[in-house]
Order: sequence, then C-alpha cells, then structure tokens
Amino acid sequence: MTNEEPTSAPDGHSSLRTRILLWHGALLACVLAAFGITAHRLHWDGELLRLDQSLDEPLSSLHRSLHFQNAREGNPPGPRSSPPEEYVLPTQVAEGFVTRGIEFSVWSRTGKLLARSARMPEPTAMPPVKDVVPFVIQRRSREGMREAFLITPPGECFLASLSMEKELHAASRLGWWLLTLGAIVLAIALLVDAWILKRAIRPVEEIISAAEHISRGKLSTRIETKADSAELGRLTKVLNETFASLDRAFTQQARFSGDVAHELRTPVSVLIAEAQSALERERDGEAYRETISTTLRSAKRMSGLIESLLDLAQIESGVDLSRSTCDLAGLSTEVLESLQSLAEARGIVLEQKLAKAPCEANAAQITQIVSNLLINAIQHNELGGRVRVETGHANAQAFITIENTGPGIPAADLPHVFERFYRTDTSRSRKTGGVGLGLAICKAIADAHDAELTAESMEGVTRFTLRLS
Amino acid sequence: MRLLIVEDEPDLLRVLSRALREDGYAVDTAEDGEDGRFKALECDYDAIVLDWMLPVMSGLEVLKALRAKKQTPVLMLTAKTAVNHRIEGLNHGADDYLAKPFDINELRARLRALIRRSAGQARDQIVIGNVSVDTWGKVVSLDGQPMILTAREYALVEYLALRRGKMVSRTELYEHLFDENEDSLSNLLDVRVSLVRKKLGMDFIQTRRGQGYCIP
Repeated sequence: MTNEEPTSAPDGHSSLRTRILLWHGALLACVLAAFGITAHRLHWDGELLRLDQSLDEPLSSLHRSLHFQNAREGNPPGPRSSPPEEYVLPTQVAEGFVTRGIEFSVWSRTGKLLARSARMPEPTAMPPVKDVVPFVIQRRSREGMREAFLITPPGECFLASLSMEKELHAASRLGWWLLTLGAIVLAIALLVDAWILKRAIRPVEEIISAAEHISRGKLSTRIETKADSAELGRLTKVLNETFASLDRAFTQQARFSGDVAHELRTPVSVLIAEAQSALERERDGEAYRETISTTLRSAKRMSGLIESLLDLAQIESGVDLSRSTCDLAGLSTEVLESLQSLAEARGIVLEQKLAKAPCEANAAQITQIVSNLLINAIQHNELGGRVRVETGHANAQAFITIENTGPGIPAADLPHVFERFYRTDTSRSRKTGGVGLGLAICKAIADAHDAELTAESMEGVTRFTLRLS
Repeated sequence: MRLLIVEDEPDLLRVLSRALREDGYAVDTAEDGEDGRFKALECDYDAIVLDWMLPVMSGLEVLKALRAKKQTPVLMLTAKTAVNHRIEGLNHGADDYLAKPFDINELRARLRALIRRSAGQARDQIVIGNVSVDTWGKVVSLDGQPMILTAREYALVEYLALRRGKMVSRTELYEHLFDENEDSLSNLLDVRVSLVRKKLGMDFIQTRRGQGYCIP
C-alpha cells in the first residue's frame, strides 16, 4: 500500500471515490438548500402575516374616522355626497399610531392627498386602485415598508404602513444562520463520507497496488487486507488464489527451462568436446567409433532428459488423466515380470506378496510409478540383495509397498528425494544412467491422483509406499 | 606440464584427458571429490580442472582444502553458470571459471594462460637466444624456422623455458611431464632431453649432474 492517495487515476479518469463524493455533496447541498429556503420562506410569511394583522385595525380606524367626520359634518358617505376637503385624525388615534410605529396616508376620491403622518416616506402618490374591489384590504411591500390599503366605493383611499426594518434584519440574520449551518452540516457530512469511502475503497487500492506489483513481475505479491465487506473479501480471496496459481505456473515454467538448460549442459559439453577433439586430426577407425558411441550416449541422455521433463510437465499440467478401475496387484505382476532379468543380472531376489488392491486410477501412470520405484530398488541395492513388493487394501485405501536392501537414503536427504534432480550424492550417480527425475515423476503422478507417496529408510531397508483411495 | 582433471561424467573426463594429452600435457584424472582432493594435495600439478558438482565431496570443498595448503592454479569447469556461482567459485580460490558447455579451444587457452601466469610469464612468446617458444601455437622455432617436436618433447621445452635460468630437478620434471600411469624409474626423460638437444642444439639444455636440467 503506497502512501499516496491518488484522487485521479493516471489515465485521466477521476477516481471512483471523488465521483461518489461529488455526487453525494451535490445531492446533500440540494437537500439542505431546499430545506433552508423553505424554512426561511415560512418564517418570512409568518412575519408578514403578523405585520398585516397589526395593520388591519389601524386601517379600519382610519376609515371609521372619516366616517365619523362626515357624520359630524352632516355629510353622509356615499358616491353622491361631496368629497371631504380635509381630514383630521382624532388625537387619541394618532397617538396610538405613533406608539405602534404606524404611518398612514389618506387620499380623497379625486386622488388628492388629504392627510398623512409625519414620518410617512415620499412619494405619496395614491396606490393604483383600478379594478380594486372596495373595502377589500390590499397589501404590498414597498421600500422597506409593509403597506395595507383599502378603497371606499366613492374612491377615498386609506393606507397604513409599518416599517419592516426589524423583520428584514431578522430574516437576513436567519438566512445567514441557515447558510452557515447548512455549510457546516455539508462539510461534516462530506468528511464522514470521505472517511467511510476511504475505508470502503482501501481494499480496492490494496488490490490495485498488489496487481501493479504483479504486473511489474513480483509474482509473489499477495493482497494483504482485512476487507470488511463480504464482496471485497471474496474478491480478495479469489484474486489471491489466482495470483498464487499464476505464481506457481510461472515458477514451474521458469524451473522447467532452468532445469533443461542446467541438465543439458553436461551432455552438450561432452558432445562439443568430443566432436572438436575428434576433428582436430586424423584418427584411426577405433577412435572414431569411440567418438561416435560417446556422442550417441550423450544424445540419448539428452533425449531421455527431455522426455522425462516433458512427461513431468504433462503430468503436472493435469491433462490426460483418464481413470479406470485397476488392480495394483495386477500392475505389479506385469512390472515384476519385465524387470526379472535386470534383477537377475545383479543377483537380486524379487519377493512378492500381492493381495488384491483395486483402485480408480490411470493404469499407465500408476504402472510408471511402480516401474520407476522397482528400477530404483534394484539399482540402489547391494549385490545379492532383495526387493520386496507388497500390495493390498487397508483403511479404504489400496496400497503398494516396495522395499529394498542396500545402502539406504540418509535421513537428511529423505525429505528431498522427490525433488527434481535431487541427488543424495551432490552429483548424480551417472553410471546408473538416471537423469534424476524418476522420483519427481512418481510424486507428480501421485499428486495428480491425490494419492500419498512416502519414503522411509532405516537399518539398511528403504521403503516406498503409495496409498490410493 | 602435468594436469589434474576432476570430473564425474566419465565421457567428459575421457574426452578432456585425451585432448589435453594430445597437447603434450601429462594428465591425471579423478572421478569424485575425495579422490580429487587427495591427488591435488599429493602432487604439484601445473593446473587443475575442477567440476563443481562431484560425488562424495563437492568441487568447492576440494578447492577449500587445496587452498589451505597450495596455490596450484584451478580452473572451475561447471554447469553452474549463474553470476553468484562464478563469484562464489572465484572467492573460494578458483583462478578461472568456465561454464559448460564450453569450447575445448577456450579451455586450452585458459589453461595455458593459467600455467603461464603461475610461472610468472605474461606473454605467449619466450625467446631464448636463437630459439623461440610460442606457447599459444605450441611451436618451437630455431632461427625463425619452425622445428617439428613431438608433444612430449615440446612439453619438456616449454616447462624449462617457462623456468629459464632455474635449475629444474629430474624429480620435478618427472612430476610435471609424466602422469600417474607412467613409470618414473625409466630413462624416458634422458631420451627426451637428448632428442630435444639434437633438434635445438646441444647447449640448449644444460645438465648439472646430480641437480637436474636448465635452459640458461
């Protein structure tokens, strides 16, 4: 895991995290804005309603005052009565208006300003009264004032207004407060979001980092993460398994080519040296025959090596493993017969105790195991020694045991005998003609069959056992 | 010049010893590390060709045992080709390292260079009066005319020429010019010296009775 936290991928696409964060932020900002605007609007509507309510009573007392004035002057209100030339608000009412901060204006039916309070701001033109139904209160906001006005049927107009300064100030404060609160909520939400996303994305970044290491050739890299989510946990597991099998396959390939190169060096050296030396001067027929037989031996050894390595690669790749029911006792009998003369040539006695051992296996490959083990048992024996083969069925498993007398395998070498080209002798015993792959092939076949192949060696007896279920 | 080849692959051992014997070297052989170590310590070889992976005792162990007692030039000839193996081999006292598969002429050239360096000669050409010895072409010339010498005669000339001015005892000559299979009590050496004198002049090799031979 690198310390860098890339916000954008190298190819220019913004990262998943940034995009999710941006979308979340935008969405949350919209919700908060809608909420704030609604709250502000509701508050403002409430304030206006309160202002409007406090204007209703002054408006009706204005109208009532004209009504009483006309009555006093014997001038009944109505379209036909003459318009009043002046208007005087009773002192008591006017004082009440001043204490409540209410301003007013009154216009005659001709549009002439009849009266107005001292602090009523200019201009004092009559409000537009066209199409206005008489006695229905009209309201408007103008120049920081809330105004309410009504018209009498003859056309007199009364207007009362209150300053909205306090309310506007409060509304603006509320607005700022909502904005600040919204910003804080958004910031906290985004921080929490980023933290959660980072935690959620971390395994992905670890996966990316591991994959990058692998693409750079470090095939042993694995994703080291404790993914919280089931999905990423599973992905990690699957990827790690994939990486491991990739690593195995690659190592196997590299080892194969390394093995080929290494093991071919000696026979190739013999070929080259022999040919170069033979060509240097004229030689007699005997010398040429010797040269040719040496080169033939080397070529045969190389060919045997290649065959064995290909066998091994094929077995390890797991293809061509058709199984059928076969009997270890029957297979052993055939192998024993074919090796009888080899054993006799070395004065070795072959003993057998073959009981039926049926199993599901690839007969050709199991025969190869038995044959390899038996040839080893004969070749690594002492003169006049013995080889004992036993087959049978125990614990729901078919088994075959091949025992031989002889020098045995040192305890330190025992765990390694199935490794390719492993030699108990630091150098292959070249005179036996083996290439050092026989036991590796046996082990590969056993593994392909999920069978167990073990080696023991003590007190002059070496024993190989194969158990097949 | 007497060489020891320690190599467990019988075919390679045979072809190498044949080729080097044809060059006039006396060649001893060993097929495992133990035998190799014994011979290397027992005898003063002019050079040793040593395989790495050997039965009984690895080439590296042979080298360590040898370096504790002797400075015999050693050429490692092995299938271990990785750089770290070469470094390990050289660090343990190998004088040269040649990877299998190899060119037999390269092996010869490297052996010659090793022997020449250990005798304190830096060049291929040794001039002694009117005789010149070309250790690269294995040719001896008298007054500019190449002389026909057998491989064993050449080996005698080269051995003495590389040690010009020094008295070389009969024992030393037997040790370096004859391999383990030849009888050192015979008069083969005297015969060889007189044959060389016939070809290159009676004074080319001087005899000091009781001490040995010398090219002045």
